[in-house]
Amino acid sequence: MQQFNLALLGAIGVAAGMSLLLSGGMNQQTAIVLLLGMAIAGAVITGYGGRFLLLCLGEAFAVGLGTQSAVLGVAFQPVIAGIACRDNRMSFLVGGVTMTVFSAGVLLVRFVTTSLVVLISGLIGFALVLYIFESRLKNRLSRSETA
Amino acid sequence: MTAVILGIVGLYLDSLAAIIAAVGLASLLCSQGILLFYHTTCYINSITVTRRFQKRPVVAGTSVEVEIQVNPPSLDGIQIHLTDLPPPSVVYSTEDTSLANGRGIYGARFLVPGATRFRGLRVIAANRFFSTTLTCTSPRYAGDEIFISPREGRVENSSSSGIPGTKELNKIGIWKGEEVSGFHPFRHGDDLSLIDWKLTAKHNKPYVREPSARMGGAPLLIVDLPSAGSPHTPEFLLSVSEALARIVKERGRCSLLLISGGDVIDFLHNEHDLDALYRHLGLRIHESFHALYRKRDSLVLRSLLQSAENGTLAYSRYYAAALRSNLSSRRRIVFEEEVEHALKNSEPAGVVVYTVSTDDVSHLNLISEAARRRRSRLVIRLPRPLGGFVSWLSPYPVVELI
Repeated sequence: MQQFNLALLGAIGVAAGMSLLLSGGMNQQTAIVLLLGMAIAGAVITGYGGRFLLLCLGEAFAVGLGTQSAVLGVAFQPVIAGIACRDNRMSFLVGGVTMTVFSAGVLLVRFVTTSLVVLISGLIGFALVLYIFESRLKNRLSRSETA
Repeated sequence: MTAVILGIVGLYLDSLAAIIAAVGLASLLCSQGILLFYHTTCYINSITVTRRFQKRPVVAGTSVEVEIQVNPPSLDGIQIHLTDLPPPSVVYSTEDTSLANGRGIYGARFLVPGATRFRGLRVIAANRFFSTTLTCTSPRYAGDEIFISPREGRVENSSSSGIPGTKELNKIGIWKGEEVSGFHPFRHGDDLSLIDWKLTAKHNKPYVREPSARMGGAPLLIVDLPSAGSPHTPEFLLSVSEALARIVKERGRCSLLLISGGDVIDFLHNEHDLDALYRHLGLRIHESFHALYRKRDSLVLRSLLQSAENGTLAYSRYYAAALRSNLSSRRRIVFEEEVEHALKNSEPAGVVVYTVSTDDVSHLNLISEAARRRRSRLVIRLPRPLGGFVSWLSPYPVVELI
């Protein structure tokens, strides 16, 4: 098995163990977290569903961990970045840092509604910026033809 | 979108954990989007494009291998797919222009002689979440201007198995400007002053002279641009470009009227610059949107009227009345006005029409009528496989197969 997969399985095991410890025993939520952890492990070992299934399962697992402890949910974000961008170190680094920093920001705000409004407006703003940037880039590259 | 849905679920459940996951996912996507554009910009700014031809000079109409090399072929962090964009007047296979590892070789056939330039390079950059397509057309990617040499005049043997009423050319696309280029049996609509009495007496049936040019100036060339995907486009464009080159060489200028079916696209009056003429030829190839709905030539209508009037059935009388009404009340359309204007402005040396029209020849009939009104000699040239459509044309012009 690849080194990355082993590290991923280890991280999931640690997270599940922490969740079990924090809840103080087996309850309904812990059982769901453990089930999701097993699903991720299965997907990693068999390779079924590809990286996008892993990403979805990872986020669901993070939600489960966050329900037990919000800090644990934030701490699991770099693992999700690793699942999504394992083939490029820079993507992994940028993605992991961004995910952790912004999710930690939610912990500081602590209000669900405020965080959601910021998230939606941020996404709209980001989409607009990306669109403008792409248009300008396209314009620059075809400048001579239009001139 | 997934992040927003996750966030809304979080709001519904009032769950901080779901919001954390939503923000995490959104920030991951945003960071990957920014990285893609950062990497793409770096890549676009760093590449150099080199194009080579298998043989020089590049001659119009002949196939030539184009080799393209892009350095560096890719960049860490993004997947790059490159495609070369040859000039618009080039025939090539779109699949072959894709580059593998920054290098590609493909066959291209340049149709129009003169100076031209590659359109550039298409770059498709992608990472796991986003992709963008950039068409790089600035000189850095399009390369230097190249010159396509015109091909020498083609000579074809005339065959005896021609279609009645047509004449095949020995030399393609030449307008010589002699007083008489040949003779043909008298047809309805021919100018009576052109009857050659010696031949008429000899063969015991009227023959008329075919003046190649009325005053020896440059003829007006009307090019009916083929629609996209027309199978005869390469031969057609070659013939037109050769004719343009010869006229400009012999007369020093050429008037060119570009049409597409029943649409007038452009008119270049006494143009000296061959490259300008070629450019117009190469760039404006598109679909015709305004069909003229099977317009018949008035000569044909008159002959039909004559037959209908001689008929004995009630149907013939109705038909004759309809034809009479059509002939008397017809108003000129914009296309006719434009053609008339072009004929008026050009030298009275005749008109040559190049076309590959097969579905509707109404516009050619309208041109025939306009030329007949001005007493200009009209030649319609069309590819040999389309000779069968001659029967739809007005009897006035001489039809030549190329």
